[in-house]
Amino acid sequence: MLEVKDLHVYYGGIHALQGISISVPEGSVVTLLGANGAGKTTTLRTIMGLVRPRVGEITYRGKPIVGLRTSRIVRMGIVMCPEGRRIFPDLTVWENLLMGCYARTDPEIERDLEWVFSLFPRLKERRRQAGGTLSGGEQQMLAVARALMAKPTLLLLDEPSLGLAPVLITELYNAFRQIHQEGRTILLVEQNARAALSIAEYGYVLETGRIVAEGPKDELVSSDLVRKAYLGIG
Amino acid sequence: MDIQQFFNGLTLGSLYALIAIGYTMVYGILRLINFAHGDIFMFAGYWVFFGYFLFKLPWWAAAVLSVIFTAAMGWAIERVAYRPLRNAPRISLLITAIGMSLLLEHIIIVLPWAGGIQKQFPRPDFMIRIFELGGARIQAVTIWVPVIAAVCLLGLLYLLYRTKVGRGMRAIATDMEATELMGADINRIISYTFIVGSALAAVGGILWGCRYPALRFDIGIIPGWRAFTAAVVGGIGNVIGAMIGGFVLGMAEIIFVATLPAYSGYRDAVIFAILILFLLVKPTGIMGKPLKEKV
Repeated sequence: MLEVKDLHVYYGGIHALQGISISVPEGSVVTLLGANGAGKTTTLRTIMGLVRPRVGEITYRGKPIVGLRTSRIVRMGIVMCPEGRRIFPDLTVWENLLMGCYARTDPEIERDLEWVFSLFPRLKERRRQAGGTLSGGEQQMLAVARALMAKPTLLLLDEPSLGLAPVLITELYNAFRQIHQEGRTILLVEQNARAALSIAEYGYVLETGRIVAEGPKDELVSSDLVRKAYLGIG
Repeated sequence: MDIQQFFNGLTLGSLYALIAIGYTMVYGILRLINFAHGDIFMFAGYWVFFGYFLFKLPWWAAAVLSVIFTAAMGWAIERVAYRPLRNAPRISLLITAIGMSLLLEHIIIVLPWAGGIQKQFPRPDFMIRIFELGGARIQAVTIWVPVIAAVCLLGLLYLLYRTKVGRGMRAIATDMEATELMGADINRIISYTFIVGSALAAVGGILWGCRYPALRFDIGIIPGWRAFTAAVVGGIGNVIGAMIGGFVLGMAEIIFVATLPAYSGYRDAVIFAILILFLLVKPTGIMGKPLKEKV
């Protein structure tokens, strides 16, 4: 569904991505693991058209998307839930969700609103509250719900578990499972390898702009690199 | 303060509020002080002048066309001058805005029907009629201006809080990139912002002409600065703050002039003293929230 080939990105003189190639098959959950500064967020931002790669190809359902405007990419069905939530603090929960479907005109908006409220019932209770008054966990739920309102076929999640209590992470990942079961493909960026590998089928490990390991979930879980550096075992 | 002065202050405050909104909306989104905004305001007066004297249109038609043309100018200025600099350093944008301001003023100077000399803004009879109210003599314009301004400001609040593009404007002001990630066409939202801000400045410019009918290429400068001060006092980036700031400044100016008429030449000193006071005591303005550093 999404193919990234040999992506090179520079920030000023810094070679941030040094030839990243990843593949996300339709209907899968793929994860991108790595420490701070490894290039995970940059990879997602490049897919979304927020950063232009110097070299490399990105195709979505066979169509090249490098150079397209972000709004165009979103309308093609790739939606990113950015790191740090980035909800609109002055808008109400309801308005935040409506911002999610800004580019949509189809009649299924109502149904999708019902669906995200069933995924995150707490948002329904707080729909008239300003987004900025929510707790961190609720803000993350709002950010995911807002991304879902954009009707993604491919959902990019950037560090959704960052700064959340374990119980909230579990809740959030349960929602991700449901989102996946509803037919969405997910590319999940995480530092929290344990959480990510609980739902991903395939994973990549990034270090300083390069992929240093990849493989199906079981292979990664048993590999020394991942066990030592990301799962804290051994 | 007598009733006449009250209406004078209300009128001046309304005019500042109408101009201040354009400054504050653009600043809220682009972090740009749009120096050309005062000149857009000035141009609105000239559009009425051209429509009325050159094309012999009825006054109301000239006024409506003026709002449309002025809004179109605001749109065009963003499109041509500011958009290409979206990712340039802020200072380039600021200097471009100053250049735009000078360009607009000099267009008026070189136009054969306008020129550098003062012209008379055409005022319709219903604006200059004088009537008695509670023993005071009130000019109709001092009633019309607050009423029309109130209608415009309510319309703006409706746009911002009840429509999709208004929601987009509020979203983009807090996080442009997140708005873009929603699939929103941010260029379109920014265009709308300039159109709305310029249209309100146009209404302000036309009403200003009805109140102070002298028309010259530089009449936008001082009201522009005062309205910008109003935007800062109200809390730059905050639309409701700009409205409040406009009224505070208009009232303060009239109170000062009415109580110390011999010193009326110092009115700008008072306005900028208020600005300095706010910058010292509450730099985020009346409605402003403390700035949070982005982590």
